[in-house]
Amino acid sequence: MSGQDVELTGVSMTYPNGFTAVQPTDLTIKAGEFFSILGPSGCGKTTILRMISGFLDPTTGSIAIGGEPMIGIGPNHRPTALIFQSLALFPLMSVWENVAFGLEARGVSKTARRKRAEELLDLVALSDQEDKKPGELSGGQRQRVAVARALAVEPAVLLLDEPLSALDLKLRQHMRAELKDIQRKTEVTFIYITHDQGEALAMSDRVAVMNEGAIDQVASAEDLYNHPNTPFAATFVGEQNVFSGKVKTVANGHAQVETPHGMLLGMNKHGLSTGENAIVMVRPERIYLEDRKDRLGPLPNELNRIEARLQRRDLEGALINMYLDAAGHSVHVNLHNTGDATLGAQDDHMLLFTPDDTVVMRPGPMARDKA
Amino acid sequence: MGELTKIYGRGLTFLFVGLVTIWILLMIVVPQIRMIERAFTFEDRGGETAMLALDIDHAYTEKFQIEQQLLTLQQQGSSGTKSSPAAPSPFTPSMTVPGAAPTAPGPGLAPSPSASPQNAMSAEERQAEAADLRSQIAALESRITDMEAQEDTSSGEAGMKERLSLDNFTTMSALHFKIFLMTLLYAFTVTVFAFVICYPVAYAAAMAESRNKLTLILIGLVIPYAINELLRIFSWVMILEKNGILNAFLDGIGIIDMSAGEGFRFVASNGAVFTVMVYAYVLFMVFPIYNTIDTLDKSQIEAARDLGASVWKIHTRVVIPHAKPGIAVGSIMTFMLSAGSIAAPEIVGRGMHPDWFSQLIYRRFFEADSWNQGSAYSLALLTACIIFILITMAIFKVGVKDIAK
Ligand SMILES: Nc1ncnc2c1ncn2[C@@H]1O[C@H](COP(=O)(O)OP(=O)(O)OP(=O)(O)O)[C@@H](O)[C@H]1O
Ligand SMILES: [Mg+2]
Repeated sequence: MSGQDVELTGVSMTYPNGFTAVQPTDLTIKAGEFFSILGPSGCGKTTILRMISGFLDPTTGSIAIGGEPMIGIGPNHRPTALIFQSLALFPLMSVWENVAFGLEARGVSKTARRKRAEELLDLVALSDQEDKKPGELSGGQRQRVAVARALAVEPAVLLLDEPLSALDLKLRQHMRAELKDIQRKTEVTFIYITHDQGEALAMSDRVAVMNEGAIDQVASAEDLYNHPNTPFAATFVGEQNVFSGKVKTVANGHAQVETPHGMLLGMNKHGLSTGENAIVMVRPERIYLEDRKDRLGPLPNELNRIEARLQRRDLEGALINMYLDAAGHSVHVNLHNTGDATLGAQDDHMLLFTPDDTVVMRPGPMARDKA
Repeated sequence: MGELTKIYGRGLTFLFVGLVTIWILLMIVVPQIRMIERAFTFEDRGGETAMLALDIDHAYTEKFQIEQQLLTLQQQGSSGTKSSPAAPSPFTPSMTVPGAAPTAPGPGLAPSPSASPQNAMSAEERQAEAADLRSQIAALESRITDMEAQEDTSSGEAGMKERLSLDNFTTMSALHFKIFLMTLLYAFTVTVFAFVICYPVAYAAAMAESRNKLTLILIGLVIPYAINELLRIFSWVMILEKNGILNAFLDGIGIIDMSAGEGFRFVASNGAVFTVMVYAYVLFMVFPIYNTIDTLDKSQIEAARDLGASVWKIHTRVVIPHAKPGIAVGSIMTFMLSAGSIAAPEIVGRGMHPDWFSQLIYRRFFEADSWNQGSAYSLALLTACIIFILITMAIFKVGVKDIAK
C-alpha cells in the first residue's frame, strides 16, 4: 500500500437548491500525508470529501488523484476509500465479512478474503473478534473495523469523515494514536475531517482550516497555531482575546493600534498601514500578571498593558482559567497552576503581554462563539 | 398485565382484558373449533344409513297405501248392498302425498281405488282380500321396526350418518386436489410477481429525497388503494374486456380492427387473473418493504458502492438482507390474500379461467350445501398458508419479533 496525491483545481460545489457549499478551491494534498480539514459544522467539509470520493460531482473545477483526472469516475472505481461519520458498517455481516466486503465485490475467493481480513484485523488489533457482529463490539473496536474495511481495498487515499466524533474523550485520544500509527505503517494518504481542533493539531502533517465553504489557511499544526493567517483561523484554532481599534503607527514589522484599552503593539505580518481598522489578538496563555512579573524571567521593554477586574477564577487541573473584565470587554487568561492558592486571586490586575505574542490583522469573520 | 394496571388502573385493565378475551373466544376460538370439528366430521351421503332411511320411508309409504286399500274394501263391504255408484274416495287426494316423495312407489303397489270399482265383488272375496292386506301390513310393520331398530344406533341429521374421520379430506377428488395445488402455485406466482414489481418501487420511494417522498407515495400508492377492492377489480375488467379500453386502444393505434371483429379476449385468462391480483395486492407488498428499506442507513449503500460493489451486489448483500423482514411480511400477506381471494378469479375469470380453490370452497358451502367438506377445504387452505408462513420465515430467517417490528 502506498499513497497518492490529491489535487483540487478550482473545485466548487453548488447544490441543486442553489446553495454554494464549497467556494472555488485549489488544494494539493501530498502522497502519504496525514491531512486534516478543520472547520465548524456546516462549512462544507463533508461536501469536499464526497467530491473527492466521487459521490458528488463538482460544479466547477477538477479533481485529480495520483495525476489521473477523476471526472466521470464513480466512487466504486476511484482509488479512494471513505470512512463515514456513522461508520456505516454492515450490521448483518460478521466483522471479517465487513472487512472483506470490498474484496468480495472484486470477486476474490472466500479463503483469500478471509486470510486478508485476518491480516487487516491484526493490523488494527482486533484479531480475535472476526466472527462477531459489529453490534457486539465497542465503539472503538467498530471504528477500527471501519478502518480495516476501508484499507482492505488498498486505497491510495483514505478519506475519514469525523470518524471519532461518536467516541468518548479517552477512547478518542487512544484512537488518534492508533490512526496515526496505521497511517505511518500503511503510508496511505489520509484526508481527515474534523471539527475538533485538538484532533487535527495532534495527528496531522498539515491542516486546512475551512470556513463557509472556503479554505482559509493550510499549514502545519505549529504554524497554524502560532501564525494564523486570518481572524477565523486565529480564533477557531485555540483561544484568542480580540481587541479592535485603528492602526496608529507602523514600524519594524510591528503596528501600534489604538484601542479602548490604550495603545497595543503587535506583529504586523499582514502589512496594515496607518489609519486602517485592525484587530489585535493575544492568546490566553501568553498573558501574564504584573504582580508575578519577577517569576517570568527577562521580558522585553515594550509591553502591552491592560487593566482588568477579575470576574471568575476556575481551577482546571494544570491550568487556572481567569475571566476578567477590561472596560466592558471580557479577557481570558490562562495561568499554570503553581500550587500557590493566591495566584491571581485578588480582584484587580494589570495584564501584560509581549508585542511578539500579539498579532495585528485586518478585521474579518471570526469563529462564531469567540468573536 | 402488571404494567397495564400501572398505566390504566385496575378497572380499565380488567375491562380491556375481559373484552379481548371475549373477542378471542367468541370471534376466533369458537368459530375455529366449530370449523375444525365440521372439517373432521364426515356426512355419509348415499351411504348405508342414508339408504336405510330411504327404505324406511318407502316402507311407511307402502304401508299407508295398503291401509287405504283395506279401508276402501271395508267401506265397499258396508255399502255394497245398496249398490251405490262408487264414490271417489275422500282419501284419494291425500294418497298422492306420500307418493310425491322422490321415489314414488311402484305402480303395482298403488292400485287406484277409483280406477276399477269392484262393486261386483262378493262378500267372501272381500273377506279373503282384507285378510291378505292385513297380513301384508303386519309384514311391513315388522320390517319397519326392524329397520328402525337398526337405524337408531347411529342416527344423524337428515338421516345422514356422521362420524369423526379424515374422509372430508381424503375424499377430495383428484380434480379438486389439483386445483388446490394449482391455487397455491398461482398464489406463489402472484407473490413473486408482486415482489418483482414492488421491490424497485419501494426502494425508489425509500431513497427519494424526503421532500418528494410523501407526495410520491401518497399519489402513487395510497390513493388507488382508497378505492374498494371490487371496484379496483372491475376497473381492470373494463380495461381487459373484449370491448374494453385496451382493445379500443389497440384499435386506435391500428394494431387490430375492432369493426372486423378482431380483438383479444384478455379476461378469463391466467394472465388477466394474475395481473388483477398483483394489482389488487401490491400495496401489501410495497409498504412492508418500503418501511424496512426506509430504516436502512443510506450510508451503508454508499459504503458498499465506495468499496466497489456493483448494483447487484449492493442489493443482494446490503439492501435485501436488511429488508428481509419486510419482504417476508409482504410475501406472507400477498400470498394469503391471493390464495384466499375469491373476487378476482370469480369476476375476472368468469368461470373460464381454471378454478381457484377459494371458488371451490364457496361452492362446497353454498352450492353443494356440504358445510363439513367446505370446512375441510378451508382448513386445508389455512394449513397450507400457515406452512407457507413458516417456510417463508425459515427462509428469510426472521422471527415473529422481527415481523412485529
Ligand atoms: N444535499 C444538499 N443540498 C443542499 N444543501 C446541502 C446539501 N448537503 C449539504 N448542504 C449544505 O451544505 C453545507 C455544507 O454541508 P457539509 O455536509 O459539507 O457540512 P460539514 O462541514 O460536513 O458539516 P458537519 O461538520 O456538520 O458534518 C451545509 O450548510 C449544508 O446545509
Ligand atoms: Mg460532515
